[in-house]
Amino acid sequence: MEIMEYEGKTERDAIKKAAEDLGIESDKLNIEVISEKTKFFSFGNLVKIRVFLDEKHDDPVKKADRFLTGLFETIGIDITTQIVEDANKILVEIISDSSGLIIGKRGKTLEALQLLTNIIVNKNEKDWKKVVLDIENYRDRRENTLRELANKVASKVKKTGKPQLLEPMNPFERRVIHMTLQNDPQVATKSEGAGNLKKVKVFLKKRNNRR
Amino acid sequence: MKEKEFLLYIIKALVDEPDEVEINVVEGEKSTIFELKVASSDIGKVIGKSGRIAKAIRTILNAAIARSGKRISLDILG
Repeated sequence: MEIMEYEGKTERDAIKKAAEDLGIESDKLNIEVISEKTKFFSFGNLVKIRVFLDEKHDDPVKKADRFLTGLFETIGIDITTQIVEDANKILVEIISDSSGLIIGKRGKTLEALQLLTNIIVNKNEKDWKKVVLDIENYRDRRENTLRELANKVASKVKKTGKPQLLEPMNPFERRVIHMTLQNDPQVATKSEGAGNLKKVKVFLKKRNNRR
Repeated sequence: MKEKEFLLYIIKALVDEPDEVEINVVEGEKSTIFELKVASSDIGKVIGKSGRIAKAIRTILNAAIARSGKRISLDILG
């Protein structure tokens, strides 16, 4: 359990500050008032409250921000985050000069970081909240690259008639390939292999002898 | 050593017994070995299903140390 202290001109003021800082609704806070405002000599006197933080009540957005910022601090990399939360997802946009290092080869580092952030944010929580990390629009850019790749491979298959096997991809990446080619009348796609990383096969549809 | 702090930070965030985390760093000329010890109840938390978490930790530790041009190896001691 973590204990934090806040001050305000009134008790309500202090609670409001705590709620904003912690990202927790004020009625969910576990509070003890330490120093109350004295009735007559209240001028300049601040009310002090103590907030008891249960890890379970910790806001997932705060957790994600704290974990990522603190992590990169240890190796001297400055990052800032912009976080948008919706019903079951947290979108974290990382802003940093070291984006290349954070993304890694074909997004490998970013994926690994996303997995760890998901586990840490959802540790001790009842409901799983998915965390998606992005940096410099990497996800959009990657999606575009994958779409171009899908179209290029499809035309090669059409030209040669030979099936093509793509490099191993994660589920998100494979989905982009499948979606891009799903309405193509001439080629079909299929994932091959086992585990998280599978290869997508692009091949000619059989026209005459459909089973 | 910054990379040790980096690794320690990740492991402490993952486990239930952060006080029992120990990391021993063996630095060679071309590679750095990180020997990690956690509470036996926490081993699953740092390895994960089919080693998924351990793999992710190695990936980002590699990225963190990449600037020095060295290779890393992360050994999880039971």
